[in-house]
Amino acid sequence: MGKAIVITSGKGGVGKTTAVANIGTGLALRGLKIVLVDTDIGLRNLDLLLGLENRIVYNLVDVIEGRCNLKQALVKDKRLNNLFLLPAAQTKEKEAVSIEQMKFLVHELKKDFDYVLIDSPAGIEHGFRTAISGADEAIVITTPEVSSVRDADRVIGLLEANGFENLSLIVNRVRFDMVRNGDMLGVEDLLEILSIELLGIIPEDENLIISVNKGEPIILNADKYRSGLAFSLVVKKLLGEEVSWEELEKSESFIEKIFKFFRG
Amino acid sequence: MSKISVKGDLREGIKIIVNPNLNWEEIKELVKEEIKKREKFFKKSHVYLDLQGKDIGKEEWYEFQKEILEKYGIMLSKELIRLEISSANTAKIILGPIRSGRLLTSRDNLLIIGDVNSGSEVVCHKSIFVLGKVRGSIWAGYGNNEKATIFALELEPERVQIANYILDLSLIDNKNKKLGYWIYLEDGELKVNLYSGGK
Ligand SMILES: Nc1ncnc2c1ncn2[C@@H]1O[C@H](COP(=O)(O)OP(=O)(O)OP(=O)(O)O)[C@@H](O)[C@H]1O
Ligand SMILES: [Mg+2]
Repeated sequence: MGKAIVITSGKGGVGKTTAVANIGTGLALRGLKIVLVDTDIGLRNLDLLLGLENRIVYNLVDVIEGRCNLKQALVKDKRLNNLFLLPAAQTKEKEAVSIEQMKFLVHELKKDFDYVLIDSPAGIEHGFRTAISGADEAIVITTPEVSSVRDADRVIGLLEANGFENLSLIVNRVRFDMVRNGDMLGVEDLLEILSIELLGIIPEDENLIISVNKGEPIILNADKYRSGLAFSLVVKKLLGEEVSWEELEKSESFIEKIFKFFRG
Repeated sequence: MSKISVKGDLREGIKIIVNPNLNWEEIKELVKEEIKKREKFFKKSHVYLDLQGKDIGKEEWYEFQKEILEKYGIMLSKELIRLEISSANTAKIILGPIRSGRLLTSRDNLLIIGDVNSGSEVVCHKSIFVLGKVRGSIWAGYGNNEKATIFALELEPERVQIANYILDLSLIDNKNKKLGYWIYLEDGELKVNLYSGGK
């Protein structure tokens, strides 16, 4: 039996889908059998980040409504043959999937995969409750903005109330230069407020936009881009290996120095 | 009885007890001497002057209070601000953090071990003690209980209320780091005191 992990945030647009695509790809690079489930019905995105939008035939709602079986709906990744996507339906509403149906679906997937990563929609309504229903663990993602932190706090409270014990935090879009100048909440401040375990720190990185447009998760270029490196550290930590975050901050100051050198 | 004595304990804070048979001038002299002697110990604390029932005019008291505050930075009070949890000494103990969106209510005193986060609300009929940082909203003495007090290790709240009084948040001094903050109602006003634990 594999493990099901939901990635959620409360606030929208903080990087859930980006995280699912990259962590999923990273775990698959390690040879594990991975399926990514897009539960953001009506606003599907995950297919685009993986560059799989043209390969979708069936979706999650088709499976639930019996138009196809689970295997038929899974889309195999372009690059890695142990990575699969179960896409969301773009033309349905969140209510098209019930909590019971989601639990059953995730349970079925866990039989065949090492990890089932579930991309949750924003908010704390039905879509969120459905997304978390089948998961064993949860990753909460936030940016260092106060509004995002407060929503993360709310979501952590809801997850705890739903019996989740293994919760961890990814802080996304961190700008170490701003933290150093006191213009941005630091990771330590966030951990103090949210009091959960840190899973990763992802720096702000404009290269992510290019990677999204290309449909190629940036973790595939962990040697070139700092956000790719950061996601590879998340994968390491998720697998229980030792991680040092200083590596990241160093990589940033290194890149900064190069820029400064060219700018003169 | 002796003319003057000083007591400091966790239940009652720092207390100066004077003999009520002395006149006001004598009392003032004695208290000043005592404070001078222990200036360091008293500094930034709230000191309760127990007049044992002796009546002092409002004006005279206010003058004296002002003098001591200006000279020594010590706030004198005529009413006992007890660190008392209640006569029965009971409290509901809650492990924090109290997260955003949660409403925590209690009829009994409340001891919260952990933070009260932004976007959460704590409402209690009696006193609230927070062994952590308050970033959210807390209301002690709900139901017009003016004896309720609030204690917090750190205080950067969104809203603080005791009984029907809402705290003016600009009264919170976040620069002088002490052990914690006491909030209580005195003379129809909410006061915030830095609690130094007798140090
Ligand atoms: N570390 C980062 N640096 C720069 N841009 C980022 C970073 N992380 C995410 N983004 C950008 O932020 C936007 C939102 O990201 P994403 O779609 O992953 O968020 P989401 O939480 O899934 O949003 P939604 O709530 O709408 O589902 C995207 O354009 C993405 O490229
Ligand atoms: Mg998304």
